[in-house]
Amino acid sequence: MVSAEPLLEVSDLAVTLHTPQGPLRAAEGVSFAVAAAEAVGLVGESGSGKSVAMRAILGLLPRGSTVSGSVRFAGRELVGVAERQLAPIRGREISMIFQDPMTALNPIRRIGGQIGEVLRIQLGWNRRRASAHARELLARVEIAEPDRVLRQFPHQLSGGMRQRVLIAMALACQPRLILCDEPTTALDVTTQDQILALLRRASDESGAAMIFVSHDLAVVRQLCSRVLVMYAGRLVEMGPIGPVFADPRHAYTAALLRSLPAIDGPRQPPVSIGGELPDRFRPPSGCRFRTRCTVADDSCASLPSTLLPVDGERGSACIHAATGLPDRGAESGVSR
Amino acid sequence: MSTVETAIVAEPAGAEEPRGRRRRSVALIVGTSIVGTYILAAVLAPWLAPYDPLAQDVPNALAAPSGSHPLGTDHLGRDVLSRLLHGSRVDLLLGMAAAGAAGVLGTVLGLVAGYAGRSVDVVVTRVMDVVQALPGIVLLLVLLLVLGPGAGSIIAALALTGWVAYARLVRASVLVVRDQDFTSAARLAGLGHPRVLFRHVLPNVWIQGVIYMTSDIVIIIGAIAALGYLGIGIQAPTPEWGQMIYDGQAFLASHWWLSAAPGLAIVVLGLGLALVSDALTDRARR
Repeated sequence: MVSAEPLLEVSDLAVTLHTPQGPLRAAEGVSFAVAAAEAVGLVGESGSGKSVAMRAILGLLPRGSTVSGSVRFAGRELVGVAERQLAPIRGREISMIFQDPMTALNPIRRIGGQIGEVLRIQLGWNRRRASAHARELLARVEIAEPDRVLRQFPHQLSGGMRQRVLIAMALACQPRLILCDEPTTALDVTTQDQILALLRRASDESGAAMIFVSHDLAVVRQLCSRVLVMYAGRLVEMGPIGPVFADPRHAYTAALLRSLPAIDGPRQPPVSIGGELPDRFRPPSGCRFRTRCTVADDSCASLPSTLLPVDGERGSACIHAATGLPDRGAESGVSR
Repeated sequence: MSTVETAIVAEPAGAEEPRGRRRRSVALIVGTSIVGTYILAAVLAPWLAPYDPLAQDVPNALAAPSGSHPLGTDHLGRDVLSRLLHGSRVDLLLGMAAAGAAGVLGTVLGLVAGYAGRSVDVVVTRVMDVVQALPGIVLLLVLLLVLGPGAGSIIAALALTGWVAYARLVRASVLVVRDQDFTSAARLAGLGHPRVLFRHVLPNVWIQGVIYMTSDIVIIIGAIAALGYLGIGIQAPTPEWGQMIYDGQAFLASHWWLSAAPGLAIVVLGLGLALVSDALTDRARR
């Protein structure tokens, strides 16, 4: 939040999914902003609402889902507008890289056709120009034999290759914002490193802002300058990477960091977070982490769902943020 | 139906023996040869048939198979082989047209039901349940009484009763494909829902319908023959296999070939289509 007008401003975003068990508030009270060319990490456990929030930005939720709140992109509102108004922004100014490269490519269409389709429809290019540019894009994502790959089908490519193709598709229209939904989760660790390096270089070169969704704190620390932490559908903490990781101001963030093995600093065994995610159909009142939290007290049951400012550019939803949390690594009765 | 459903289940790679594969390609070759022969016979019927299928020769009625009439003559003295060959035009054409109409109708409704979301899905699924709850032949009879006799009515009635199987198959496949991210990616490419449905979803699911169609054609030809047998199908004197079986029935004890020849024609065609269907199912699985 350096510039006055952020590129993306999400305020009080809430998403309700309709499941066979009834309506589910998958995310609520989510507010944050992303500046131009900024890389922001969004972390949380599986089911914390990260992906749902990202898809809500682009209006790509399953049918029957309801979204409230506001998403403003470069001064334009994206929530509640007609498909027709969304179409020129979606894929063109904001693009997305999906989690599973196995299902994000149409299995029966050639790679060249799928990349070309984006260029032909979004930019109105003819087939020849689109195909030439598709080749260039594949070369940019470091695919060795772009001409061969253009003619291949997805099943002929490895997971890492497919993810490169998806990155190429995401970059095709030179978007100003790229939403990365756990793009390396389905890949093995060596491939993950290459893809991360590629993403970083791609966003540096194109000047696109990036929201990087992950459950992997180490990856976010490598790639992002700011981090948002989500738990059970709500944002619980946000701030610049360094300070948040060094001195978390929410009990959940602290617990999350304690659950990582420390590479630098004193050797301490990782501590897992006891208990499990609350029942999403009947979440606890107040702070949703209080059922698993070691510092929770009665006051946590009645808590505003907004982030409280901490140290200027940081925010935390924990009322114990000011009074201090257990030190990172201190085993204050946290179950293993 | 069951052969079609197994097509969706993936088989572990390499589990298949080369020998089994060879046997299946033999099935495909035999099946396509049988079906191809029928199609050729239907196309070339006017040139292949030794006599006019409608020409009566009453003094020479109920002749036994001989050199001049390889399959004998019927009760009006018409050449059975000529009628059989011309009948293949009627039965094959009607069978393919009706299966095609049912397949297109069912595929479109299945696509929409699977993709469009709840309320549309509920309506289409309930209609499918209703159509399936009624006995097929009864529904066919009622529809034909309403629509009147004729080839167009038969195709329409068979399509209106036969689309359900296609719709169920396609809907189930759409439900799987719909939630894969490539449909979201297609939205990001700027495609609206109808184009996503027809350009990205349909090409991934239509093969299921086609495979079912190969076995459905047999069932439909059986139904056309049954309608002919009941006297409400293709009207005499047009040669049609079901009608021929019915006509020969009265002379079954003395002139069994009159019914057996068209009966065998239906059975062998069924076998050929079943072999093709099996081989296609196998291809789709790999």
